[in-house]
Amino acid sequence: MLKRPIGFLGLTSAALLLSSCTTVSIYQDPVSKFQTAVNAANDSLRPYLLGVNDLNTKANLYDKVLMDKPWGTEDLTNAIPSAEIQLRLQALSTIASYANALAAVANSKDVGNLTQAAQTLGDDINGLSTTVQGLAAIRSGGNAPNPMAKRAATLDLSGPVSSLVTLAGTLAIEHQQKEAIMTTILGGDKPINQLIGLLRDDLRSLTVMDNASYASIQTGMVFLYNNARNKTDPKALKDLIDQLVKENDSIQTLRALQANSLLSDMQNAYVALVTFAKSGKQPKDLADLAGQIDVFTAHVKLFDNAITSVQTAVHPAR
Amino acid sequence: MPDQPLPNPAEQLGAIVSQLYELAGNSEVPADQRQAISVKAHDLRGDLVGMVAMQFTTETAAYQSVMTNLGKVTAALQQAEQSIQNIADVVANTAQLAASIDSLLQEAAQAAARVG
Repeated sequence: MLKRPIGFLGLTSAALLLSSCTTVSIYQDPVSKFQTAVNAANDSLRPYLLGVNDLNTKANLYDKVLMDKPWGTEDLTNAIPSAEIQLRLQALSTIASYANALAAVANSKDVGNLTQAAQTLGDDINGLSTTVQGLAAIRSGGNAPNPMAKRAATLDLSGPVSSLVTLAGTLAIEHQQKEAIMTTILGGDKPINQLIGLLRDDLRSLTVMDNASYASIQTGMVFLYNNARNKTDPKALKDLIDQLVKENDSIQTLRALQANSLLSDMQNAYVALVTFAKSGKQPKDLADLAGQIDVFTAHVKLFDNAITSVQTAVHPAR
Repeated sequence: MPDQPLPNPAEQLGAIVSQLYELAGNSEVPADQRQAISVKAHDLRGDLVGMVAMQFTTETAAYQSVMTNLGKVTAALQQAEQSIQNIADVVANTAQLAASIDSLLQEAAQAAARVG
C-alpha cells in the first residue's frame, strides 16, 4: 500500500528536479551567447571611447592647417576629461562583468563557483562605485550642478550603481543555482538596463562630436592632398589618388559607425533575457530571446569588422 | 520629479558643422570664402564640444535664440546647395548662430556659478 505513494512521490521529485535542471540549463546557451557578444562589444567600444579625444585633437590640428594658423597647445587639450572617459570604461567593464557573472551562475555546478562569480561582480561594482563617489567630489569642486543645464559629460551613474551593490550582496548569499540565476537576471533588470541606457545616450553625444571631427579631418585631408598634388610628378599622381581614396574610405567607414546603436541592441538583448526569465519559457519565448541576441551578436561583428578593416587599411602589416 | 530635458541643439549643430566643412572643402567655392567658412566651422565645432555635454531643461530666451539661429543656418545651407552664390548668407547666419551659442553657454556658466 505504501509503495504507490512512495513511487509517486519519487517520480514527482524526479520530475521537479528535472524541471529545475531544465530551467537552469535552458539559460546556458542564450546566456553564453549574450556574454560573448557583451564582451566583444566591450572590446570594440573601449578603443572607440579612448579615441574620442585623439580624434578631436586631430581635427583641431587639421583646422589650423585649413585656416593657415599655427598649431598651439590649446589644440592638444582633452575635450572630455580623462576621469570622465575612465568612468565610462569602468561602466562598460561592469556590464561585461555582470554578463560574465550571469554565465558563471548559469554554468556553475557548485556553491564555490556562485560565490566566485558574485565576488568578481561585487569587486567591479565596488570599483565603479568608488569612481562615481570620487568624481562627485571632483565635479563639485569645479562646476557645481546647475539648475538650467546639467553637464551630461558628468554622467550620473549613482542610481544603477547603488542597486547593483545590493544585487551583488544578494547574489553572494545564494546557495542554489536556480535561485542565483533568477536573482542575477531579475535583480539586474532595472540597474543594468539603466546603466546600458545611460551609456547609450552618452555615446550618442560622443558620436555627434566624432562626426564633426571626421568632417574636419576629411576637409583638411583634401586640402593637404591638393597641396601634395601640386608638388607631385604626373607618374606619382596615381599613387596619390589611391592613397586619398583609401584614407577617405577609412573615414567614411568610421563615420558610419553608430556606437550608441550597438548599446541599443545590447539593451534589447538584455530586455529579452529578462522577459524570458519572467515567461513560461515556452519554445516561442526562447526563440524570441535567441532572435534578439542574434541581432546583437551580428551588430557587434559588423562593428568589429568595420574597425578591423580600417586598422588593416592604416597598418597593412598587422 | 526632475524636469524633462529639452532637445539638445547639439544634434542640429553637429549636422551644420559637418555641412560647413563640406563647403570649406568644395573646390567650387571661392578660396577666400572657403577660408571664412573653415574659421566658422572650427569655432562651431568648439561650441559643439561644450554643447553635447549639456542637458537643457528650461526654455530661456538664449536657448530659443540658438534654436532660431540653427533654423536660419540650416535654411541658408539648403539655399547654398541650390546655388553657390548664396554662400555669403551662410557665413552671415553662422556668425549670428555663434553669438547666440556664446550667450547660451555664458548663461549656463552663470547659473552654475550661482548654485556653486
